[in-house]
Amino acid sequence: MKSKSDSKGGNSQVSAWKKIRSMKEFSVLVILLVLIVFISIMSPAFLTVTNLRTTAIGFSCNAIIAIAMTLALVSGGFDLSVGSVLGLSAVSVVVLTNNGVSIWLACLVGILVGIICGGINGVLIGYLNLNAFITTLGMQQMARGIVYVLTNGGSIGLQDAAGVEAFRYVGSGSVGNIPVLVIVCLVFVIIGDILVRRSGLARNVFFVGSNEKTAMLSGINTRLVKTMVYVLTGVLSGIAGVLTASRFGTATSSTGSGVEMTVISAAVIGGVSLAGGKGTVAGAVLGVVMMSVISNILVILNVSVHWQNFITGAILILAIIFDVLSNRKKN
Amino acid sequence: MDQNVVLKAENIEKHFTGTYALKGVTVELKKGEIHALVGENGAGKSTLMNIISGVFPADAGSIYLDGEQVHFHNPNDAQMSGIGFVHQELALCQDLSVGNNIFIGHLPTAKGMVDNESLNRESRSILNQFGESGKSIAPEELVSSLSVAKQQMVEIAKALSSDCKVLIFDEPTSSLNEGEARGLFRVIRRLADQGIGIFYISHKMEEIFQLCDTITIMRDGCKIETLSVQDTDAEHVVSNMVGRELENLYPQKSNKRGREMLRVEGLTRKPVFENISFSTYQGEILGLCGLVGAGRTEIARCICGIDKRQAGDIYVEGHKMTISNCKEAARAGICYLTEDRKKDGLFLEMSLIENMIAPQIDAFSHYGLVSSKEAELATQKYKEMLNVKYASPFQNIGSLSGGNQQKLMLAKLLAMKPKVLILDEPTRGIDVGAKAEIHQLLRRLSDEGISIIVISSEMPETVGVCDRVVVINVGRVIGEIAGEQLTQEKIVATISEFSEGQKEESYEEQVG
Repeated sequence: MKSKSDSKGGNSQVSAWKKIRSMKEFSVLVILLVLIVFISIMSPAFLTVTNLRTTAIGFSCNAIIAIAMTLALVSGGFDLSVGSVLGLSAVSVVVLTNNGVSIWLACLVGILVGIICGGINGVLIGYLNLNAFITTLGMQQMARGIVYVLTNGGSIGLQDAAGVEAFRYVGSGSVGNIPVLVIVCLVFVIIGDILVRRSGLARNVFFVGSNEKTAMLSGINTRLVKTMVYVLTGVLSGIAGVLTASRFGTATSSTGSGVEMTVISAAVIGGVSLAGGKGTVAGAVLGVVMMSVISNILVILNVSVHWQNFITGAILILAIIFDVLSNRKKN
Repeated sequence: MDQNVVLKAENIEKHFTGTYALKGVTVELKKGEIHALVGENGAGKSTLMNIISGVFPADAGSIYLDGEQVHFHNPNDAQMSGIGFVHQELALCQDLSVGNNIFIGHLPTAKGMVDNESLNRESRSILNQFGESGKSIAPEELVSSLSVAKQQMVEIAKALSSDCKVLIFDEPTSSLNEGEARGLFRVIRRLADQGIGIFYISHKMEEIFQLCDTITIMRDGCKIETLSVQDTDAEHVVSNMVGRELENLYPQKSNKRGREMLRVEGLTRKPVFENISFSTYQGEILGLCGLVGAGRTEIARCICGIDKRQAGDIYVEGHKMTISNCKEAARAGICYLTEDRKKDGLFLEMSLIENMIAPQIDAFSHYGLVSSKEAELATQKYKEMLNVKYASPFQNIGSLSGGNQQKLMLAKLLAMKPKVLILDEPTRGIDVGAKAEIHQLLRRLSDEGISIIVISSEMPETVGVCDRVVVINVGRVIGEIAGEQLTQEKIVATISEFSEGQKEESYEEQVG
């Protein structure tokens, strides 16, 4: 009897290991570790506190947006407006504070900006059935347009006022050697990953992304689910905007531009399906980390900045090729 | 009201943009009864079931569940009240686990989090009700990794996940092989024994007489009659469905055999099939028969160059052909009608004309510009020839009934002037009337000199339509049956003899 239960335990251990190995996150993690080992051998500059801090601060805001982008992709859509909404939120914080509004109120407005942009996207996509690509592309242009108007095409610095110092601590302060921003990001990512894996609401997003008609026939309010996904991308972009303002103390006309592409690419590399229905926050965030480690490596190796776009693009395509080939093998 | 009646639909009426879909239909379903609904496409079976299961509301009439009147606003309402619907096209979320699919819409949660443990436990206990076929499905498995038959079990489990009183099946066996269908019937009987009332929509008379207790016949939105299976026979049911006597379900056979049209020699594509050889002749309809999975479709696809062959030669009218893709096959005069019209056969979102010209745009173009005039003429020609019913050649082909879609798919191939037509499940999912028309048409085409090969998983169709059959089993030709000899019994005997032989062989191998 005992030996039987033992062997069963062994089996489940083996299958758990197999399961972990078959997970997309695992292969991204392995590649990431290989990259880290590689660059650590190549140059002592990588494994220094300063470099690791800069890299981690660099990807924190993207990682927060990646949480919501995972759900957007899982629902079968995506959000191209996150970068511009991030910019708009950051600019709103700076402009309002400079005009005498309390910094904390300004932060709330920054998040509200995200809710409004995301809400508009969501209603248009969820209830009017508009195409997610076009809708969020339009929102990207509109939000960026307002950013240009507010910044006049340049940049605005955050002027000193009551509470600004405390505000700046969130984005640029540290606890010991660890930046506060990274801690905030980590909290978001851990909560986000658990919620997306386990919560009933997030599970509905998977149903909608996997088979919208079935989800609808099963009594899931698919319109509301889709709308809420974009509200969430909006909210997290808004929060990322506030954090960005806190980090730099300035907002420029180009704050946040290109974030959408980085985050979508990273999510796909991390195993989130563009066709919907599949993906985890952990995977997407690992993708974000990997992308930023790679660009860090390029900097350390003195590769021209101009080559970085090329290499990021090539990695994205390689990731998809790898994905398709491994799926084909399974079948 | 009778205590035994679990569901009663009374005087149900439904209009769709000007036309009557249902004109006051009343049906009663008893506890534990398996109740067949038959009728041609458009007779109103699906509409009635959709109303009962809350997909859309009735214009008039009332539905009683356990004697109480119910009003469903959506399918979820109906499911929660105990009416489950297993749709013909499986509606599962492929990327999610079996358990998630079973409890979609009412996942067990604790504090907003999905309770995976109870999800899997409850799923396990529902699946266990199905006997062996359910026990082999793990609740944690992804649906995409399951076979179609197992996915259907998941679909049924989904219906059972809320206290189920009525279960509706819409042509559940259309994509199952015979063994799987038998497994399904066992499950359905088991559910009926538990007291669940079952509505069963099907075009296949055999399975209705094998499985059901009661038959309701519908035609043109009306109920013609409800009778007990013991008191009737297939002939009576079919003639009431179509509203006229179908004297001969199948056209006259032919015994003239012209010159050889297609010869296949030693066709091999391991591990699916090997060393396949046969010939077809003008004026003859040849059947490729065997169990589902025997390799028939794969052989057809290989002849047409869709799949690569590893060895073997193909001759058309005595000339050896190099066929390495379907374009070359079409040039050689071989056309293939796919078994999956929706997935592989038609551009459902495009017009009739566009579908018509798709396989041979060049033939309808001048200087690279498509002439829609010619395409229209061609469409018109086949409309008359095949008796297709449609309003305009510019309407989406997806808006037509299955039978008309099937005819147009055939027309598309005929426009390519084929010498050899390979038809895979030429009458899948279409009603009795359209079926008979297609059978007549095949005979006519064969008389006109096109060599026809039919692959059908409906044994009566194979026997009824073909003049000669080549029997295939596990990728080998195991026999040929023609003329008087051609009966279902003979085919089954050929296959089982072969399987016995194989068993003995392997036994001898083991012993030796």
